[in-house]
Amino acid sequence: MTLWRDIKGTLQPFWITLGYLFQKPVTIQYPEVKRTPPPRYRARIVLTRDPDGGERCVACHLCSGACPVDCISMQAAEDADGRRYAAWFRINFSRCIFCGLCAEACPTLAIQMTPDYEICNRDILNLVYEKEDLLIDGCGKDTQYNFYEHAGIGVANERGRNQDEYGPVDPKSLLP
Amino acid sequence: MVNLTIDGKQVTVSKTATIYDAAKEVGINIPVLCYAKKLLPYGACRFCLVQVEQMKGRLIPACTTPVSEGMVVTTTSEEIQKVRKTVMEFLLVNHVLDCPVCDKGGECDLQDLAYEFGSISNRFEGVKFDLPTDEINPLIERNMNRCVLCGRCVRVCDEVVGYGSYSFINRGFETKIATAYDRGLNCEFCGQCVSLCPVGAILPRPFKFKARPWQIKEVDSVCGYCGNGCTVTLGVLDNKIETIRFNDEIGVNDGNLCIRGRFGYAYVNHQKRLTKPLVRKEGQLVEVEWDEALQVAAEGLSNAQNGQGVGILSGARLTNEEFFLLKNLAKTIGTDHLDHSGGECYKGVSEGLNETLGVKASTGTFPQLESCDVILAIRSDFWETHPVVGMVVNQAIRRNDAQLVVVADKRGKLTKLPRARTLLTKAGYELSILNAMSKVLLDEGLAQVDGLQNLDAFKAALSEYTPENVAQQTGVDADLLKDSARKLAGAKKSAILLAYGLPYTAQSKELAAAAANLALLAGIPGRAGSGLYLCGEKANSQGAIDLGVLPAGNGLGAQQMLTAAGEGKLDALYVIAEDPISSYPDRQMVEQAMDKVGFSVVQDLFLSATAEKADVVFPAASFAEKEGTFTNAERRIQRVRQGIKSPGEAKTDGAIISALANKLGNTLSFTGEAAIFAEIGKDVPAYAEFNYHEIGSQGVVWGGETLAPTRRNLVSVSAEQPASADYHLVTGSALYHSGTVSVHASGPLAVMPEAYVELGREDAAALGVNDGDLLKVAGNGVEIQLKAKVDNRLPKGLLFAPYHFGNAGLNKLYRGEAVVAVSVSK
Repeated sequence: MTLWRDIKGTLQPFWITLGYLFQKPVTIQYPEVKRTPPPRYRARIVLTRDPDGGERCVACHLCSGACPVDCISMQAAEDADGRRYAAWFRINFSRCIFCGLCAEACPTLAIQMTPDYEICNRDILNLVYEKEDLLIDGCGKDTQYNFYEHAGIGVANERGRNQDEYGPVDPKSLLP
Repeated sequence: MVNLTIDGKQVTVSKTATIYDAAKEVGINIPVLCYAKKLLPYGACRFCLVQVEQMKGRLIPACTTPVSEGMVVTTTSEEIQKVRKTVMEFLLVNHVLDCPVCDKGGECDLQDLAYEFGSISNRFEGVKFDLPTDEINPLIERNMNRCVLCGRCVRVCDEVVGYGSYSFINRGFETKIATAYDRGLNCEFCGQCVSLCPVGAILPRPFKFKARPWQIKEVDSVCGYCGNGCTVTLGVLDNKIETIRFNDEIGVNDGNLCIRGRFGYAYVNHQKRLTKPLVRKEGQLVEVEWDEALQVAAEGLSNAQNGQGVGILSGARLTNEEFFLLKNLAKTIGTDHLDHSGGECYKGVSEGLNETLGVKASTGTFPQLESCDVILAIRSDFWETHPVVGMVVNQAIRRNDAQLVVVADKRGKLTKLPRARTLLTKAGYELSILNAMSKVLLDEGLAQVDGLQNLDAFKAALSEYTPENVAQQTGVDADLLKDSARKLAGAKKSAILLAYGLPYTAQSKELAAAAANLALLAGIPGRAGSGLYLCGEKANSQGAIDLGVLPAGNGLGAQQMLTAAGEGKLDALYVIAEDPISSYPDRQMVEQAMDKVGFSVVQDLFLSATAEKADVVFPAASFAEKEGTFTNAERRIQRVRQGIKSPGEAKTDGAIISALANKLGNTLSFTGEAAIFAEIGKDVPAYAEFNYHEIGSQGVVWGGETLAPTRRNLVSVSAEQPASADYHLVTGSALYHSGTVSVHASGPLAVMPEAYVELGREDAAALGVNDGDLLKVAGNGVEIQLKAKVDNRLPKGLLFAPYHFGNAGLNKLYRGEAVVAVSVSK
C-alpha cells in the first residue's frame, strides 16, 4: 500500500501542473501589462469636490483622528461665505497603511480611496502629498452628495432653503 | 443623611443632595445637558429623567429633585431610554447638522448624547431659524443656530460672574438667548459661558480652527497673572499653547477664570519674546552666546559689589524655588539690597499685618469666603485685581445672602452686586473710614477687646475719627458707616478684603494696619470661617514675602535702591521679571537710576523699556515653561507645570540665576525643584511640613484654613490728607490687564488696546469731553495725553487711569501718592 501511495503522491502534483500548463496564466507581466483593480480597491487617497465644484473637505480632523498611523494632518480655515476648508492638508503615504478608516470616518465624503496603487517612489519625501496633489476635479464615488445641502447651515443655499428643510421663520411674525 | 436605592445600589447622601448627586456618588451616570456642578439646579433639558417608585413611577428630572428617605430610583429602563431619545429628537428638530464644521466637534455634549442614543433620524419636522452669528467682539463667538437652550450661559453669567449679559428672549419655539436689546455681546469677556456651553453655540474665537480636542495635550498649571492662583489647564499642541481648557475638577477656582486667565495666554507665544542673551557693545545691545553674557554679568556684578554694591530687584512672578535661588545668589554676591515689586505696596502684609497680628499673610482661605455673612471690601478695585475672588463674593451674596460693604472712591463691579452697600468716599480717605468704623465698634461696646494690646492708646488715637467728623471729611453718610460697622461686628463669619499692588503703594502699611485693627475688634483673625484677606497683585506675591525676598538688615528697599542708583550710590542693578520704568511709581526716578547706575542686568520675557537701558539682558521663561510652586494670596502652595519649551535659547529664571551664581563661584546645585522645595522648608518653617511631590490638585495651604494670629496688637495709624485740587487722579488695575505682561497678550489687548483716563459724566459735560477725545492731564509738573473714557463709575472731580500701559507714561505723573492732584484740559 505504501508503494501505491508513493506513486500517487508523485503523479498527482504533476497532473495538476499539466492541467495548468494549458490554462491562461494567473500572473501578468507587470509593469508591461497592468491589471485593472476593482473599483473599491484601497490605494492612493484623493480629496474630491462637490458636484458644484467646491472642495468637499471641511477640515474636521476626523480622518486624522481615525487614522491608526497618524499620517494625515491639516489646518482648518474659513472662507468669507462661511465655508470651512483645509488651509493645508497633508497625507504622508510612506506611513499610510491604506486601511480606509479615514474614508469611512469622513462625514462629507471628501476623502476617498482610489484604485491607483502605483505610487512607489525612490525618495521617501516624495510620498508626502500636499493638498494640491490630493485634490481632484471630480466627485469620486458619489456624484450627488453635497454636505452643505444637508448641514442645515446657510452656505450652499440660504438656511432653510435646502431640499430637506423648511424655510426660516421670522419670530416677530408670530406675534399677535 | 438620607438613605435611598438607585438601580439596586444603596446610597447615603446628605438631605440637600439631588438624585443626580446621589447617583454620581455611586458611579451611576445620568445623561445631562443643562446641569453644571457649580450652578443651581435648573431642569431645562429633561435628559436626566428617572423613575421613582414612590412617585407612581412617573418620570421626574434627577437634577432638580431632592432625595428623600427610602426613595427607590431607576435610572435606566426601556421606557426611560425611549423618552430620552424623544427628548433628543425634539432638540434636533431645530439643530443644525454641521458637526464637521463646528469647532466643538469632539467634545460636544449633544454630539456625545446623540451618539449614545443612536439618534440618526427624526420623527419630527419643524421650521428652522436663520440667526446671524454674533462675532462683533474679538474673543467670543455666538452661533445661536447651535443653541440647545440649556441656559448654562445665562445662569453662570448671573450666578457666578454677576454680570448678567444673557437672557432668554421670545417664547416657545422661538426662544433664544440674547444680550440686552439683542445687540452683540459686549461684556467683561471672562469666557465662563464659553467654558460651560455644552454645544458649539458659544466658542472662543482665538481657538477657532486651531485643533480638535483629542489632539491637544492638557497640562494643569497655575495662572501666571494675579495672586488668586487659579488652576489653568493649558491646551498644548506642537509646543504652543493654543487655548486654556475648561477644568472644574481641580484647583481653588472651581473652573472659573477671568479674561486674563482664559484669553491672556497669548503673550507666551508672542513673536517678540527674547530668544537670545543680549550684551551692550559700543552702545548697542547685540545677541551673544549664553556663556559670554553670563561672564559679562558676573564680572559686572562682582566689580560693583567691590565698589558701592549691587541692588537686586525682582518681580513677583518667579516661583518659590526661583526666589530661593535668588536669595542664594544675593548671598553669593554678598548684597543685602534685595527686594520685590516696588517695595512699598507689600508693606501692608510684611509690616502692617506683622505688627498687628504677627503674621505676614491673609488669615483665611478663598472657599471660606462663600459662607461669610458680611464682607467688607476696601476699594472697589478688588474685582479688577482679583476677579475670581470677586466671583466668590458674588456667590456669597447670591447663594448665602451675604451683606457686602464696599469702601470705595469709585463705583465698580463690586458696588453693583445685589444689596451691596457702598461707602463712597472722596479718594484717598479709605483709612479714615476704617478708623471710624473701629471707633464705632469701641464706642458702642460691640468690639471684642479681650486680649488686645495697646487698647487705650488706640482709643485715644481714634478720638478724632468720630463717624460725624469722618462723614464730613469724606462725604460718606455717618449712619451708613455706623450701621456697616455694626453689621461687621454682629456677623458670625465675616471677611475683610484688600488688594495690594504697584498702583496701590500709598499708605499701604497704614491701610493694612487699619484693616487689621478693625478685624481684631470685629474678632475676625483666628475665627473659623472668617478672614482678613490681603491679596497680592501678582501670581507669587505671597511666596516672595514667605521666602523673604525683602531687604534684610541694612539692605535697601526697591525705592531706596533706585534712589541710591540715581544718586550714583549703587554700582549695579539686577532687575528680574519686572519693568520698573513702565510700572513703578515715579518714572523719572527709575529712568535716572537706570541711566546713572554703572552696570545693569535685566532678565525678562520681552525687551522692555527697562531692558533697553540695560547692559546685559537675559531671555527668561514664562510661567508655562517652568516647573515649581506658586503661593497664592490665601497661602495655598500650588504646582506650576511646564507645558511647552521656551522659545529659542530662553531659560527659566531659576536656571539663569543658578548659572550666574556658578559663574560667581557658588558651587551649590540642586537636582530639581523638589530638592529646592525641601531646602526652602529649612528656611521657612511653614513650608517644611509639605513634600513637593505630594502637593495635590487642590494645592496645600500653609498655616491651615484659618491662620491663627500670634499677637493681637492694635496699632494706631492716621490718615494722610490728600492734596486738594479740582481734579484728582487715582491709578489702579483694569480688569482686562494684570501688571505689564498682559499688554503683550492679544486677548486682553483686543478688548483694551491702549491706555485711557476715565472720568464721570458730570466732569465730561463740564469739560466738553466725549468718549475717545484726547485729554491733557497735568500734575506733579508733568503733562501727559490720554484718551478719555466717559462713564458713570466715577464721582465728580475724580479721574482714573490704569497703570498697565508703560508707553502712556502714567507713572511720570504718579509718584506713589494715594491721589494725584491734577489739572485737566482738552
